[in-house]
Amino acid sequence: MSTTEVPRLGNSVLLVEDDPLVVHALALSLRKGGYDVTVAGDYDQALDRFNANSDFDVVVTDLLMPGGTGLELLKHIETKDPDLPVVIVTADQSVQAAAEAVREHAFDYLTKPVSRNQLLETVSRAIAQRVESAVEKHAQERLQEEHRQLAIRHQRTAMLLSVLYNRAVEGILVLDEDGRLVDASESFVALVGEPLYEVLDIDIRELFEPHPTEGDIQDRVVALAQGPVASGHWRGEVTVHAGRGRHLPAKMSLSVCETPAVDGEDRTRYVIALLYYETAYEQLSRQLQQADRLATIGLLAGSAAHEIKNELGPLLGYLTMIEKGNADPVGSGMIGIMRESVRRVHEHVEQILEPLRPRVRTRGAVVVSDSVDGILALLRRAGKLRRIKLSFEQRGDDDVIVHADKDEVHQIALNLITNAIDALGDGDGSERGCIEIRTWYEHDWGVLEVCDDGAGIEEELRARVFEPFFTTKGSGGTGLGLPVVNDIVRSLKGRVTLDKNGERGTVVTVWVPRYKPGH
Amino acid sequence: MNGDVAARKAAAERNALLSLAAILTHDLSNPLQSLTVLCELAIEDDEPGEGPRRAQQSLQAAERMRDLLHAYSALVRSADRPTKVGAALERTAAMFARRCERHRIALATGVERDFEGPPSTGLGLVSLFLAMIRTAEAGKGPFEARIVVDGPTLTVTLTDAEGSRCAWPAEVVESVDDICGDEGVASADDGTVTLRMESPVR
Repeated sequence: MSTTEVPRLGNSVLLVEDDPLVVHALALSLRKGGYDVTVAGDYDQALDRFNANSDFDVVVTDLLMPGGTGLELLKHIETKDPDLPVVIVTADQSVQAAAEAVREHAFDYLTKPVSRNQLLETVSRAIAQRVESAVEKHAQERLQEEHRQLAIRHQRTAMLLSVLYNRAVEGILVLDEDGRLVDASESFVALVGEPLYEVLDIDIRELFEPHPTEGDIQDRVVALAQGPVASGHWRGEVTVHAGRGRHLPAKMSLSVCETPAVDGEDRTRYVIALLYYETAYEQLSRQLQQADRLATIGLLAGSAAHEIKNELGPLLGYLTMIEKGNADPVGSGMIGIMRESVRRVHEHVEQILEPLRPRVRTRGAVVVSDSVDGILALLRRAGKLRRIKLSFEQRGDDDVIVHADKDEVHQIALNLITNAIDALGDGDGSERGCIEIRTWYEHDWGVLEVCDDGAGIEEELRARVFEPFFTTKGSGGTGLGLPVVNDIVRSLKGRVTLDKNGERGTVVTVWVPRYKPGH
Repeated sequence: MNGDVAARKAAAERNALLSLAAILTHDLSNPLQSLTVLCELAIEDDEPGEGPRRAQQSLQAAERMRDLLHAYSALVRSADRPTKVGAALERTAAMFARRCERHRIALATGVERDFEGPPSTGLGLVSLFLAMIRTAEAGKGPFEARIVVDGPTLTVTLTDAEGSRCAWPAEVVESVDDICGDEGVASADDGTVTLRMESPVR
């Protein structure tokens, strides 16, 4: 019988009996009962009939016959077709013979003379059981085949998942409900530069910086794991503690998954983190800062052009007078004034060109207030601070000195202050608002804080303002200010946070390592 | 002929008779099988009338033969092994039912506590029934024979039509002594024979 064919009730009987009288009676009886009967008169004939035809549904055999016994025939059938039922019909009423027949898996043991009804009922029951066991076997084979197919699919899926898991450029992290690392892909392990066993079971706060607006990633993971599975998703920006002291920004998505309860074990929740990071980030960061400097040049060029124009007006007047011979350039002091004007024009041009000049970054002591003062002077000259109430406070007696490059601090302060100015709007010709700048020491950190009482940033956008090219200023913004601040602060191993400033406005706070002599 | 030789000869004769009985019961089963099934088919096939009635009577005859055959077969099989006394009594009573009826012996059997008797139980019970028949043939019938099994004790009481106990001839008591086994005892007392059987496990 093939494994795909569903078994049906059959009617083929092999009748083994050496007494012609019995053969005649039993065969007649079975045929009248609707069975197709094949007769064998002795053991050898029975073997021949059985071996030649594998489609018998039941064998009815005498116990004693020429050439062998019914039990020997039963054993032979058992080896070839264990599911074929064998009914023994014998004159031997002994308990021993019956017990032996049962031991050899005879379907039934009937003692002669057996009634027709008893014979037909037994044969019918035997065939029904054969069909039942065949159906069961068929179902079992089908289940085994399905299981095999599932196993193959599972194996393929597992291989694909393994490739995805360990060969993906993206980092994959499996976290438990407490935010501890259960597993991590090879990509992430390579990024953090530690063997897997070193990072397993550690608190992920050791692997990620707190987010400027979202706080610790571990809090986010725990909150997700405790909430409903259906809404257990989060996407945002994180900073990875990459190997060799590097800080690498990355996009992270968190999803909650729940394993089903198996064998009495409770369901287990995990939070799966997918991490997309750009390994060439340092280069991108430099490009970002360069782009931001170009934006700054635009600001400076606007201011400088106005100043240069102011200088060029008198210069042209003096030159016209000299050309017409109406004045003594030396005696009237015109030459000295002209030289001073040219020097100032040169200074303005230098201011524009300065950010474009390649220079080597040298970190050391930088006085924060010097940078802030310089920027405020520049902005004031450019007319950017008109109708703004601005205050700059340095708390404590000492200058706040941080360990950084002068340009880095300049860039941080400039970006934060220009953002604050932009946030105030134009005030419809009247007072635009207030900007408060503060700097102070906090333990080992030098802190710079810029507050404005402008329009503020909507809560749902607050997490995105650190993404490059995301801007809330429309066409007026480059979307580089805060990302560059974040990049620089990260590279200094500092921290930046952004929050609401009371009822309205924004406060951005930057922590940069305090300068220590011999640092 | 000394005693040992006589005993051996008796045992050999007994075994030969038992073997013959076994072969006979076995060989009778095949024609009986044929007869039974053919009668059943004849009952099924025949038109209404005398035919099916005769076939039905033939079938009844075959069935009685089957019952006798099974009883003889069981008796022969149990000749060399311990046997439950209650079951053996029922079998033997069925085997002798017609004979008892003919001799107007009313049989009443009961089993209070069954007991596994010695290998001689089956043939011993046959001897008991034969003795009862001989007693009836001796002109003591009709009577009622009440046979009760209560553990190893088997009590046989013969009561005549007036309700008086019938006396057992001494040779009858002796002839049924076989039923008790080597260690058992049989005693007769005013129409009651009490047999105390040995246990098959010694």
